[in-house]
Amino acid sequence: MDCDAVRRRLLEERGAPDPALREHLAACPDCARYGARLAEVRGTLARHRLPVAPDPGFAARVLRRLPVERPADTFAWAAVRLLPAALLLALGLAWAGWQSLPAGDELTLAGTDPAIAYALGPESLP
Amino acid sequence: MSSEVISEPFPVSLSADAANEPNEDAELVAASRRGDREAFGELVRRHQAHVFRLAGRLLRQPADVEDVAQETFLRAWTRLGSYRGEAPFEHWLTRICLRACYDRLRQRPASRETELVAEPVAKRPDPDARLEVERLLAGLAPADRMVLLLLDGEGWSVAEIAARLGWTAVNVKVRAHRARKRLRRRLEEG
Repeated sequence: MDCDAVRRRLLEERGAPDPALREHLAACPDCARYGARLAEVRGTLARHRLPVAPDPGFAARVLRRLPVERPADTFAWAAVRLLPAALLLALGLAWAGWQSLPAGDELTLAGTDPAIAYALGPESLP
Repeated sequence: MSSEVISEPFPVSLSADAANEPNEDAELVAASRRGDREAFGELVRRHQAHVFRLAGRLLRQPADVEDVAQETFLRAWTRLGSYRGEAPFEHWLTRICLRACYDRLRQRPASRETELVAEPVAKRPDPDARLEVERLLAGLAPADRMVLLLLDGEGWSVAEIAARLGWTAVNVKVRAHRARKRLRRRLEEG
């Protein structure tokens, strides 16, 4: 096993190294040093936590900030609040769709493609 | 406050207090959903230590821990209507807390977030390793930093992190790989 594979395994695996890893570490001082530093850093990561605990007034502070609506109603209220916006959006989309439709005379002209008229004969030309 | 629905993660390890009293949690949740604020206050008292512990793992400023803990319970109250009781309440709350921590981490640049504070870790056995960790974390994107701390700090598996954050396992693996690659580079440079 080469140094790259050993270091990758040390990084990805947790727990005690297997015999093959141990054998390499015993023979390679660089990887042994790497393994030791990795263990130190992991130990520090495990202790990496702010020692902060809630004080006795925490729950009261949370309760003071609660909204007045009952939680079970929250989604129903959200739906009710969103209804006017949804209706406006639907109306807006319908209006925009109506505006983008071609007018009646445009529809008539669209049918008089010169190539089609030629194929139909001279009497069909305007 | 966003209005996303927090789905329920599958059951994973549970703290001793919450595991012993799931039925009481269910009763308190039901009462809270009916608008009983005192019942919700009791839920807060039962789970506040867990939320502080988790936020203290991921954030570096004590004031942020308090803010995120409050935000977690406020989001929980607002979204109680979406909690179906299929997973323990603590798991559901954990997911909300992690999302709130992640939102906070994204709001702040890494250098500010990882400023050394008066007592950032419970013990300081090796100042070099501590500085190494602070520098490493400062150089990581918020999501990668979070994954590394949950893997090597909390000792969670990729599957647990994915379930609790609501991310895919592939996403967690990619972030873990990136964070560990940077860790390796730091170890080899030093």
